[in-house]
Amino acid sequence: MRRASFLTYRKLRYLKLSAALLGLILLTAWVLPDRYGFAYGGTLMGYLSGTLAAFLAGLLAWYGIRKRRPPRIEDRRHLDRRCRVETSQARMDQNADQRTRERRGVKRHLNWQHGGTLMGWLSAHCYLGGVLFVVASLHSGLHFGLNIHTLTYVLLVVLVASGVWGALAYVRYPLLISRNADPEGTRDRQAQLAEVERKLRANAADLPVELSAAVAISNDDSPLVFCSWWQIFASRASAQTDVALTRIQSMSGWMADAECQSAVREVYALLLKKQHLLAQIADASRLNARMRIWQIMHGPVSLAFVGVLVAHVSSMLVFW
Amino acid sequence: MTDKIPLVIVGAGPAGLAAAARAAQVGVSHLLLEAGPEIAHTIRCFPKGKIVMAEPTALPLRSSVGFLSDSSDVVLRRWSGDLAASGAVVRTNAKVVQVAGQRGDFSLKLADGDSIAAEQVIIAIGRQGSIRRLDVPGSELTGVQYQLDDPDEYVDETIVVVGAGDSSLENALALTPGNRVILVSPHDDFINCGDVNLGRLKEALAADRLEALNSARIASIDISPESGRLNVTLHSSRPIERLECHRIIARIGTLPVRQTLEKLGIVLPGMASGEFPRLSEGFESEIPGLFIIGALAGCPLIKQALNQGYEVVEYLRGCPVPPADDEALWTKLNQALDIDSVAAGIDLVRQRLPLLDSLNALQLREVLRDSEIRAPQPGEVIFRRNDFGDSFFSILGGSVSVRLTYPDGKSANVTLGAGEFFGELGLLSGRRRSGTVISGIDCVLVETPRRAMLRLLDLSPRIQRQLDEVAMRRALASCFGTALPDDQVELLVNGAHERSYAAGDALFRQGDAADGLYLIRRGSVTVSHTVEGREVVIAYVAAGNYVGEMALVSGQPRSATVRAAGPTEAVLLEAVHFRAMMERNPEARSDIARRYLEGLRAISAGTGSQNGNLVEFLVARGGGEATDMLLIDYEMCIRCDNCERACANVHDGTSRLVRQAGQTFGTMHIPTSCRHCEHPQCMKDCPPDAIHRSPQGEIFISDSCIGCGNCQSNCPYGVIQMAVPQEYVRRTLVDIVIGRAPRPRVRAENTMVKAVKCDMCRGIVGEAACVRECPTGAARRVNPDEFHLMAGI
Repeated sequence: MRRASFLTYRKLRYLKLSAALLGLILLTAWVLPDRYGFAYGGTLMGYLSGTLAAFLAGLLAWYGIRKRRPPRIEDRRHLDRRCRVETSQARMDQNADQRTRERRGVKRHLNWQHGGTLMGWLSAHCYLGGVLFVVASLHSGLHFGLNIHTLTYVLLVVLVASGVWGALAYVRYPLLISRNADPEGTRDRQAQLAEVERKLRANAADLPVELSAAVAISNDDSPLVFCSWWQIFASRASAQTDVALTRIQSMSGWMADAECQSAVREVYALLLKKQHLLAQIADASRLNARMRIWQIMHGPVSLAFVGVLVAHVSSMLVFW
Repeated sequence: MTDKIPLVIVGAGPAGLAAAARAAQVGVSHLLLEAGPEIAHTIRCFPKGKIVMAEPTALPLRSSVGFLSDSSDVVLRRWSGDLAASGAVVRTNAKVVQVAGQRGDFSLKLADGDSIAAEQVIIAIGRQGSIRRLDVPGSELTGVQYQLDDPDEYVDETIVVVGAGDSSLENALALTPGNRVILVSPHDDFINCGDVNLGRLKEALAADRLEALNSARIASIDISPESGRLNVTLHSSRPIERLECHRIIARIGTLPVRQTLEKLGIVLPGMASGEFPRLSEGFESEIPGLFIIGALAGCPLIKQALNQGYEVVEYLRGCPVPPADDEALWTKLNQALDIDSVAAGIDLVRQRLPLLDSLNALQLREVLRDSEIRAPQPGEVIFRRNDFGDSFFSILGGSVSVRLTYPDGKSANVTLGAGEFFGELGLLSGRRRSGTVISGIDCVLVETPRRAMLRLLDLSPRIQRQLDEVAMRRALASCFGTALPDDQVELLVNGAHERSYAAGDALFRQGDAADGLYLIRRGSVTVSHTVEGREVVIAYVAAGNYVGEMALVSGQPRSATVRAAGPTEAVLLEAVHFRAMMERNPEARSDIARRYLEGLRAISAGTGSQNGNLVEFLVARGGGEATDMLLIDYEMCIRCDNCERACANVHDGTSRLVRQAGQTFGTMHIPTSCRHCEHPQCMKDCPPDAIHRSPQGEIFISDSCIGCGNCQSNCPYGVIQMAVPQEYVRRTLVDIVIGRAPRPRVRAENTMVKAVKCDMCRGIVGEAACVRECPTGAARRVNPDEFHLMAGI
């Protein structure tokens, strides 16, 4: 039973809606006589598309607020009483709608009372974003210059591009992340790594100086990069451990001593384990960063866009 | 022999105390006899600081000694003071060994040889005084004890704990730090224990903190001449074993009521073993002048005992007062029944409901006090199919019509009349209602809540038996349709055996010979098929259905293994009877043949896929006993933790789910969040009875939670937290722009820690917040019937 993702929400409800909206706009553009050919801010079609675009922009921006600020739920302290009353009423009400008895069904049905589901909002956000891009392009009539109007358009293009990237990332990366995760989860990997490092320190202390120095090289590796975004660009997480491994391979003095030989074998195995763990932790962190990096762009740019949009609209009103 | 005392009260527990105090107050010449050196011995032996609960809260207190919920020492001090103030005559260290005679001519023999003549006697010795003792040579030696006051008293000792119940287990576990503890159980297993204690026992056994000897009993005890310690001879499955120990703690229960009374020489002819004495409204037994109150009368609560002590004295001095609950009962009974007194109402109930026939008036009152009496309009729906509900209904008058829907989609109407009952399947299985019940003409119903009903079943094996038999008949009818004639049902029922299984136990294995058909009455099972040496789950079957028909039809060995998904009870119908029934019933045969073919299809579909492992994973983590489980599909989850924030938003600032915790199988993740179990263990031991199941099915904790933490330790899935209610502060627009998350605020008026858990956003319209606020649709709630859909089987 595969459930719909946010892109296929309710059998592509918002894709269909967006397509219909787009059809309507293009039809209007085709019907309306326009002096400037395609469309332009100052024409009738320009005003129409501009108003629609501003409305869409507002709706899209509201998603950001809706996501961070779930709808207010009334004070639950009275819920017990209310529930009791409702239950006894439902009992007495012989003709209670059968549907209200199907808890899940009816609950889903009533979601709109709390501003719908966030999944629905996201689905609409994605498709209406595409519509906004087309409508805004129409509105611009592809007339560009060094002014605030063009800046608004450019910011919009950046937003839409990062949004498309984001939608693709949200579809692609969750699966990759869970494939990479081992059953115990990342936190345990950190614990495993700490354990391996502890053993390494203990074992290296008994080794000859040059060997313990080689092992010590791996101490410089740390999966805790100061910012997870950095992980995308970071060099191989186990770089120093790799060096330590090569260094030990190049030495041969320890071969003579049987006791030393077994100690080295142990240390070498630990280093290999560390290398593996570092790679896994870095991968997890990198995948996570890749899933989110577009947000760096999308969030702040949307704030800037709203500001510039307000300036664009008011300048139009001022110079009308 | 001295003069006759008008009233002798035996036992200075709550009931005896109250009786003596009232007698002193109204000037009835009396004597209170206590076997021990002080009054209220049982409560004196409570663990230090234990809170004595004044339950039931709805019952008014009517007593000359005061009582409020408090720690045991405060309660005791108050009782001693009140008793002394009333001027009651108490004689301690006076153990009564025999009571003989009747009204006006009783003679009581004491252990010290003294004898007392009395006109009337009140027996209020309770049940704790008649602790079952070891009946072996040497059981009187010092070091053999029947209770444990303070486990810290013993260090570095070898202690043998005897018993198979919760109290023996708790004692043994309390002693494990610092002592070598050997637990001796007469049974194969610890059958009388709760699941929680059983889990703790297994843990202790695995960690070698405890030794356990099953199927063993103590044959004799003597003192070892060398060390002076106790020497225990054990009979077990192994050859005779000898053990040296410092002490023996035997917790082997209390004597049945009849035996307790018989030890005093009191023989009540109308009382069967395992039942409570039949008493008049004034607590008078079949022997005139002999009154029985308190736990021996079947009322184990302190408040009830205090009230009865007062009431019995009023009765025998000729000014009977109606029992304290009379008024409440009167309003309850009067609105539905045409009666002129509560007593008449009680008699009527007893007459009309054969199921409750074996209860005495006091117990019946208690049941009725907990129950609701309803007189629904003709045509009113009592409950619908698929409703959640676990109350039990008895029909006092009129009739109801039950519409049943069978697994094959056919439905049938059954009419039940006065004296019959319904709702037992919901009570026993904890699942949704299996049919719709509509009230008929002049219908009067007694609705008994689950807790009261379970207490009743515990008290009376006869009721349990009657209920089981009817439940079995109905299960048969619902599995095979109504086509079966009565005599055939009779045949099947008589050849049926009840079986119970722990989670993971096999009902039968692939390749076994077919022994019969299993009707699942409680819990659920998984059906699995062995592929390349591994068991792959191919189906999940819940209570109310049957398994094992395939091998019976084909005559081949079992084609699959069936295991209990949680604690499960099943009824085994033997193959012989089942085949005979099939031969005589073409309709049932065709139904079973159809199921057989469906089963074949499921096997071929299920063995090819690895998804069965997902079902197995879910079942192993509580899915089997769940009614609604939160799952997160990691293939879609973007790890934004919006589910947790949304939960905190609607639930006093504390999220009831932890996304990162919990286990993952493939891409399916079970976060720690309540599964809303069929038989919730959190409910078991809640002092204020604050945990309930709503009609929609969710388990919730009400405001009356006292924060004791019992539910938290009882929950096997660790989903209950203790938290202070907070106010979730909504982000402002500025907060959102600058990316600030305000911290929840603690409400000044409410800083008490309470138990919190998922309540499926009860009372909020729309879906649960975790699901509604998931941006990608990864979070979903499923019930076990959907597992196989999810796994694509």
